[in-house]
Amino acid sequence: MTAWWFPPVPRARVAVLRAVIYGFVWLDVLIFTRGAFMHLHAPAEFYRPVLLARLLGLPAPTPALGFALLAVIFLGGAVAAGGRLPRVAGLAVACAYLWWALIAMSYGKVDHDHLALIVALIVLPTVGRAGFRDRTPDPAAGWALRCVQIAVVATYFLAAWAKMRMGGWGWASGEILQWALTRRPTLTGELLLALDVPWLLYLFQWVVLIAEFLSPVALFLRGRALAAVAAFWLGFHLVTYLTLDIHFLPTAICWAAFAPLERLVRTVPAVAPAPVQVRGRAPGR
Amino acid sequence: MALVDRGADAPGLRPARRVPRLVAGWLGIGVLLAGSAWGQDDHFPAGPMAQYAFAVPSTGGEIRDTYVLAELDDGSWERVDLSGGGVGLRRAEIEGQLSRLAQDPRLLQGFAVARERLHPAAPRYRTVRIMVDITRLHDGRPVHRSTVVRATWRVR
Repeated sequence: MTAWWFPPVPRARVAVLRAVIYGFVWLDVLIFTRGAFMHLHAPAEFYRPVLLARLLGLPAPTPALGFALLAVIFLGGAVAAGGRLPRVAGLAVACAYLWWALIAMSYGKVDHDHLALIVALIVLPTVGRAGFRDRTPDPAAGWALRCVQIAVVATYFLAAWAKMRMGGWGWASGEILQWALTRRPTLTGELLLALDVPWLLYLFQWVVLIAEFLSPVALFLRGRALAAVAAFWLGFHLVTYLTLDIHFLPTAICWAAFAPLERLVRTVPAVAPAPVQVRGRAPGR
Repeated sequence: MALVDRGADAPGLRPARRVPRLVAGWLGIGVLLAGSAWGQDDHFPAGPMAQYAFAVPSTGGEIRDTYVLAELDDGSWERVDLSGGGVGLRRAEIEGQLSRLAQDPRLLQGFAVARERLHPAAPRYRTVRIMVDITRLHDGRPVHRSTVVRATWRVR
């Protein structure tokens, strides 16, 4: 089982994943958790800090604090995505983003689509320096990717668990989708309700529940089977976006941790694949 | 299966670097499992993945939709924007604090303050009222709709 935690993965994969994750975090704070930004203007008495925020003794958010966190996320993300100061800049982004997320979740509503992203931000700095062309197999890189993969799968599996804990076995044959479609009207959603096809909603609910319970399988698949599972979940997120206006992008983006991302780098430069020696530490540190 | 064919020990990772990672990995999994078994939303980011996890029974189930109405200076009423840009709060957040608001409507004063701060040029709120539309289901179909007022506050 120890070997399973440490697959020797090329460091370039971590380099590309850093670009993807830090790039996405920019988008996330500007678009998806901009609620946190609005919160800075919300009535102060509505700030109800979650446990971790209380334990850390975080001060009540102010616009100045919000701008400071944004600055760290933007600057740190740009530095770390480019492969510089991966530990220091990465750790700064992880702390600032976690703080940002704690603010976003401290006004009476907690979202669950950020787990994998938060885990990715925490583990990516642990890999240290990783160049885009650095194909050195590194078990520490493998561990970081494994952690993100586990967090992605946990998001689904634990969602199924929560459904059983809170909704019970009646969840899948209940009206949760109708509930959601009624409250978050979209064009597709209204069409679905107008068509009056309750069996389709039940079918969707059962498929979701079963797929969520089976999701850990992705940790043990490779190649086409893994690609098929990833495609299923990305398709699922697309459907929920179109019908319910729920995008779950912070989780969806972390599926990248399952892909051989280093291949994206090789195809870009149109030079002969000569064994270029890239700067870096000597092997066998 | 990756479990089997990765084979040998992790190459090149000394115990000093391997052990903390292993401990952190298993600890993280343990915290997540515990959060799902016993946790609440308060334990973010380790709480249960509770979004859409509750059951809505086909018969007797209810769909509740919360919104906020505000009376303006000129006596007309408008629906408060709950996308986040209106008063800094979203619908789900108001629903999360609904019982608190119903018990202590004074908190709604904050809506008027936030409105002034976020939209200084817009008409001010004179009264703020929290409403809930309730749709009752029977056999999976909506059979009865009603609206209740959960809290009202005359802005000072």
